[in-house]
Amino acid sequence: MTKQQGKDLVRAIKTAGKRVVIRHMIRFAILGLIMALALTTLIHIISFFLPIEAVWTLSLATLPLVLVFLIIGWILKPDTKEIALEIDKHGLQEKAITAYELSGREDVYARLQGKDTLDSLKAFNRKKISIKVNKLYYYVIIGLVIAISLLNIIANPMDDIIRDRKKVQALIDGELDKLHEYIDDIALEEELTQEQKEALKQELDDLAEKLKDLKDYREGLKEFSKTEEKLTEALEQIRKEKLDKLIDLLDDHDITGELADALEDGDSQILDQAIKEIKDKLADQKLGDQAKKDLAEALEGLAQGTGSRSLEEKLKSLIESLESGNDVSQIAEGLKEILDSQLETGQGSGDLKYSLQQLRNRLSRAIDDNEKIAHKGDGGKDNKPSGDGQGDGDGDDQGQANGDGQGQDGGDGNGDGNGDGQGQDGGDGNGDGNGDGQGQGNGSGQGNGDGNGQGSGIGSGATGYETIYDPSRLGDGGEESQVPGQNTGQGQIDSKDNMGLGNLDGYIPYGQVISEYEKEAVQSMNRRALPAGIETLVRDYFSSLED
Amino acid sequence: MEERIEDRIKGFKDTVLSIEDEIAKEMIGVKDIIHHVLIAVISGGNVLLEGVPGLGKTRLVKTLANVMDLDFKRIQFTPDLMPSDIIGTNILMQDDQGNRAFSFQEGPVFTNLLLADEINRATPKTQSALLEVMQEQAVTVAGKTRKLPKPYFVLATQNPLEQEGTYPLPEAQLDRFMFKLLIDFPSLDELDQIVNLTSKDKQEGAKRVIDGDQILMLKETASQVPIAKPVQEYALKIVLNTHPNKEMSNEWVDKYVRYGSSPRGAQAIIHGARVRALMEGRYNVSFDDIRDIAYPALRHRLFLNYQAVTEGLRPDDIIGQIIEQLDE
Repeated sequence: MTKQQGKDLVRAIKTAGKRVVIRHMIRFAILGLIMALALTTLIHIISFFLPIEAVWTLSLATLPLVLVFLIIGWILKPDTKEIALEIDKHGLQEKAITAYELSGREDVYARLQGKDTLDSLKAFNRKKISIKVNKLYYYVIIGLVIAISLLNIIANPMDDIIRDRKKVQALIDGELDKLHEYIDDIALEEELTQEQKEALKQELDDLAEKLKDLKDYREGLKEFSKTEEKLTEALEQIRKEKLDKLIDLLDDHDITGELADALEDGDSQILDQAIKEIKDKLADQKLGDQAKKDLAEALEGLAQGTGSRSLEEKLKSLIESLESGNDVSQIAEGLKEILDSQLETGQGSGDLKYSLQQLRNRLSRAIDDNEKIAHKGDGGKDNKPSGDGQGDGDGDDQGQANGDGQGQDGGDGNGDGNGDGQGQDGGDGNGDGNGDGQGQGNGSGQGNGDGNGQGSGIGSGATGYETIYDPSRLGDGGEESQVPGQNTGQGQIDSKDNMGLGNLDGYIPYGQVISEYEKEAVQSMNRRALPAGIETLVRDYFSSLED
Repeated sequence: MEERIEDRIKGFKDTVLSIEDEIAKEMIGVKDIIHHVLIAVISGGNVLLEGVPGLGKTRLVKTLANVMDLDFKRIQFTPDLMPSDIIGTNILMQDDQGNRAFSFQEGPVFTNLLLADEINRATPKTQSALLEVMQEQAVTVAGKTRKLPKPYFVLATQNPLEQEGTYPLPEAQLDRFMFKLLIDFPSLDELDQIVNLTSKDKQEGAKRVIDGDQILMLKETASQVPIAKPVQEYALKIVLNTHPNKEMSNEWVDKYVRYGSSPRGAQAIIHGARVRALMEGRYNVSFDDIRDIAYPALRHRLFLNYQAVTEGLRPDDIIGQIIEQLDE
């Protein structure tokens, strides 16, 4: 076979075998489509067991597989030899493949065979090569399309979970907005130094950042808790610093020395007693000039260190009263109020912490609801007790606010009151109340406020989850905690219903745990901004138990 | 030189067709048999013809000898036939001077075309005497080897019905036959033609078409027909598939075959396919050639087990299954 004959032969084989290549590519395109449909089916099936939000987005993402398969098909496209073999199947009696293999040989047979093959290829009807692919491919495609359609028609239990997750996500987004508001509010805090503000702001920023890309809501809760802990530590530090400063200031003067001692001991009764003594002395006009001077200096020192313009104004007013001798009875009360406010480490920061706690509670409830749906249908396999209870207390919550109104002298006698609410829970929960007082001021600028408290009590109802007592949560208003872990459907239920506080079935002697509880309660109070009245109530409670 | 070869290649088909036509003048209804006998003869192989008596086996061989202008001898195999009766023997001869010497007396195997009629009636000992003749185309007597004339072919016949007093050919003997051809009983039309032909007073006899040397040239020409690798592999796979419990064997082979074909089976297929391709006017071997030759080349090399015999299966059934299940 001559070289030219060889070239002509290869060209003729390729020309005759174009349809072989076309069919090959069609087959790969169909294979790619089948693969994409198969993956789509798989995704849909998985979506019945796992909550996948973007099922169709993922399904559409499989379409490029067709392109991938086309590229693979092009790479693996039949070579001349394979084409020759394919052509031979259509009546060429293996002439093409033999001629192709004889390329390079120059004997009589190679020449004769090459010529014969070229003649046959010229006469070859290309349409004999069908570009149709195996019908089985089409059946598979139809089958997969039907399967996908059916999977879309059948109600997917995961849809509810996805819907609720979206709700949770929306909630998180909302809470994120609120967090940003709190961050802005911190900047307005007058009682905090710039450094402290920056530290608190940084914590909130970090939390907001973590919540933004949240995948695991439980992790979100953890982040909330971590941030709360950090804020607590930061606020405790701030409180200590302020307290030390206050003690130093009061200790410099004889008349307020006892107040300093009371503050150092942290004994509210002694503090009240010291205030009462000053009040009595002022009322009985028993204070000498030096004592009055000391008191005025102490008040002035306090005024300089408050960092709050309103408190500063009030202190100035008290100093004026002291100097003028008018309304001296109010000086002691005013002093107490100022001390209380100073000890309550930045009311704004306390609100922030409380708000964070509320955010976490809302998020926790939303996640609980979400997981309840996820566990729906597990029935007896669930190792958590099932009940018809409600997580939120339905007790009779009554909020009582004791508000002390303080009027501002606007001439029309309207005052703004700040009230501390105390909630009483008719159920098993303890309610915390924040009251907003509205005061009515008289013309002299002093108002009496009536506080309206709102209490939010959290009761201890039976829930779908095991409710346990978690000492670290004391002071959180009796919120539910849940046992972490994964339900495998195996194992035994090792929990007891109604094993809440006060129902220990006598397993643990009360004397062994009460001190721990008290310690936890005190620590919890220290971490959170609670009204002094509540603290007293808690302390009295434990004292009574010790008795 | 090349032109002569080219002419020979191009004239191959016509030559063979002429031979076929001449034989067909005396043989009715065995066109396919004639075709395969010619393939075997041109390939240089021996043929075992199996059929009931009276189907023209002997006549076919005689006609073939006439058309090819070959020396022809016939041996009627019987149980008392001795090896020396067919291959020859040394006999003591005395010349005119009274000197005595052993002289080799050639047996009937010394010919071009040997008809071994009813070969299975001879004893295994006599049958074995043909082994060297068929394979080596030589005879060794008293330590002296004598070449047989070229071309040399053995065409043996056997009767499948009368099994009493017969000695089935051993595997080694069967393997020496390139093809085993089965002659069926003629159809009504063919039988009619046979009767008419033999009742004529004057028959037109088959004429000589070629001679021995030309047959050798045809053989030489056919041996160079190119075969593509996939086609050759296909033939080899068929042979490998005949072996039970091997990697390539199929369910039927595992179940019914005792022994598969020897490598001679593969050689027979390839050689036969080459001749067939030229006879079809092609210059290359096709899958069809392989499939066509596989049956006569393998049917006597496939040894079925007892289960296959009881189920009435024949080697052709197994070969058919192998071909059906094997991809090209």
